[in-house]
Amino acid sequence: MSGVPARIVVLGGGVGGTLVANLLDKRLGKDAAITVVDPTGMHDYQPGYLYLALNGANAHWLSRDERTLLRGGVDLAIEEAVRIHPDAGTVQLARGGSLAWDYLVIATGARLVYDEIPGLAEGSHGFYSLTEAERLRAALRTFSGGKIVIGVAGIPYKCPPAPVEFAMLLEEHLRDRGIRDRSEVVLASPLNRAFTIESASKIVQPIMRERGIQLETFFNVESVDPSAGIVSSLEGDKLEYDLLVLVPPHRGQDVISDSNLGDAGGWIPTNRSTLNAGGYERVFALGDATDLPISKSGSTAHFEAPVIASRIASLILGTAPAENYGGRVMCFLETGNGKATVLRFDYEHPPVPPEPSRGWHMAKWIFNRAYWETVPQGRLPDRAPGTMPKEVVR
Amino acid sequence: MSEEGTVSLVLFSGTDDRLQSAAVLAVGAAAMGRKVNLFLQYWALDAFRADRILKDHGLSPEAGEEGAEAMFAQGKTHWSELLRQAKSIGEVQIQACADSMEMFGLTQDDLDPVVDGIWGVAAFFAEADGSITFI
Amino acid sequence: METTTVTTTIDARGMPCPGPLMSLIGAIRQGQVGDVIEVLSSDDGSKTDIPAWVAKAQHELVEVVPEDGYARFRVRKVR
Repeated sequence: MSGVPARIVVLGGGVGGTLVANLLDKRLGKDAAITVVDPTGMHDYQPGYLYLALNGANAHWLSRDERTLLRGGVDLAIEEAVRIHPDAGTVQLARGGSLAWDYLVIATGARLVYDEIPGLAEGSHGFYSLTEAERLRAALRTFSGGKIVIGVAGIPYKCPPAPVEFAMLLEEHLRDRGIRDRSEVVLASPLNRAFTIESASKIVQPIMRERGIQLETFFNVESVDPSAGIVSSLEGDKLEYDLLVLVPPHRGQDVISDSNLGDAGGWIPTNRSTLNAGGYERVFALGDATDLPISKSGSTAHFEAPVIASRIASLILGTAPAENYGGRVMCFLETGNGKATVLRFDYEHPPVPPEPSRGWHMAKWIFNRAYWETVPQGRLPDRAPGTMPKEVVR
Repeated sequence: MSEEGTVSLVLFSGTDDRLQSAAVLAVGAAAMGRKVNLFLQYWALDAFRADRILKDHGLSPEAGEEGAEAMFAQGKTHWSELLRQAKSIGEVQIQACADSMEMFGLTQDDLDPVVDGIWGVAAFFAEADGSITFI
Repeated sequence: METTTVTTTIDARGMPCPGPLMSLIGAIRQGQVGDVIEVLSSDDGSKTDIPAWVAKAQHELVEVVPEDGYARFRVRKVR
């Protein structure tokens, strides 16, 4: 073991990047020099935007200074990475200058591309960014009745349950405001059911029927006509709307494509078990940035981070790598009226969602509130949030 | 093993508001991956009797009229059901205090199935490697 | 014997969310006309779900190749 600390650069200060940096610092201490590179230096809690749009959350608790979430031994460079050179072991920064690394973790997330869909920007609302959620909140405040259509304008997208959750919580919101009888809520699903996981759809669809939420199937948004108030699908169908809420198209960050590391969507080819990126031994990727056809969810990054930390530590310390990512994901799914269910699965075990309950809704609420003090710092035990239940792990 | 250890809740009071409070804490701790042990003593144990669990256990004196209204406006999930849900969220155990069982002349069959077993005080302390909260 | 030239392969085995069908739709949208997208799925539902979408969206289900415990769905982007 040489006395020179290994240089680790983490691109992106979101949940995955922050957690992997903290775990590496905990494990390696002076054996590593870790730098998180983030363009804004702010860490956002994206699951809160949906609630903000429906008046359930305040912007002030959805964003924090990344510096306050990182351990003292981790450096933070508030910079934008513009090129990654895997063979040279460097990252070029927008303002000039570069960082040399021995190990690189790519946690750059996803970007929203509104202009890929004609009419989307002028004709629709959304809750995938803070500004969009605030704009939607304002639109809902002046909404006094009419037809609201919720749809998906690009795949992949972050948080697959979100459109379903939004439909359920919106319907409840309209009831609370006393305008439900003057409104229609339509969920336009890209698939032939409400949600991709069939067992969850079986729970959710009867609830939607009970609450009068209409389901349109095989509806992948292709264009929006703002003046006519019509949204069209690539399958050839059209829906009229008074208020349109869309999940926008997502792509990987420019730095990935500009470095010729990404696929057609700008996502990095990543090994599903070792999380090595682009076939490089010393480059890893996690979270939304990967090309894995797995949920783009905070929990995915949360469960991937310890695997990468362990594998990099093994490389540095010269021990055999012990941990693989087993595909673990955990997502809550709100069903309105103070209840929620949960989706817990991994590569070997499909989900077995429980009947929606107040317990799980509370668990989600508590988790949301506790996030800042627990998740990025790696303070949650391996079995949180929610253990893998006996019915799933047979 | 979590960084902060098992959450041990000692339930003494048998009113619905305190039991609801304990149930919410159990759900929260379970959601955060903490192991939770509930230890039922005295009037809390009495509230878990199979023939009484769903009956009205009243509220603490602090509640008053408005308190009662506020509590029932909250939602209809009984604390015993919330505790069952906490068990499906994480590792939650509910144990009856052996001494209190003796005091009331109870056997495990007299208790609602949500109670997992009987512990003496020594067993409770052996398992309590983290904070102990008294409700 | 393999005769179809596959442009992109997506291994969605053991990944129920977003799921093989959603991943296929995303890749078709992103791809060029003429591309053949191959999705590996261990989910039984894919046998009905994928052909149903392909028919509705008017693309071509080139072939379904059964393997041990999963299947390869090959879809050509037609328009």
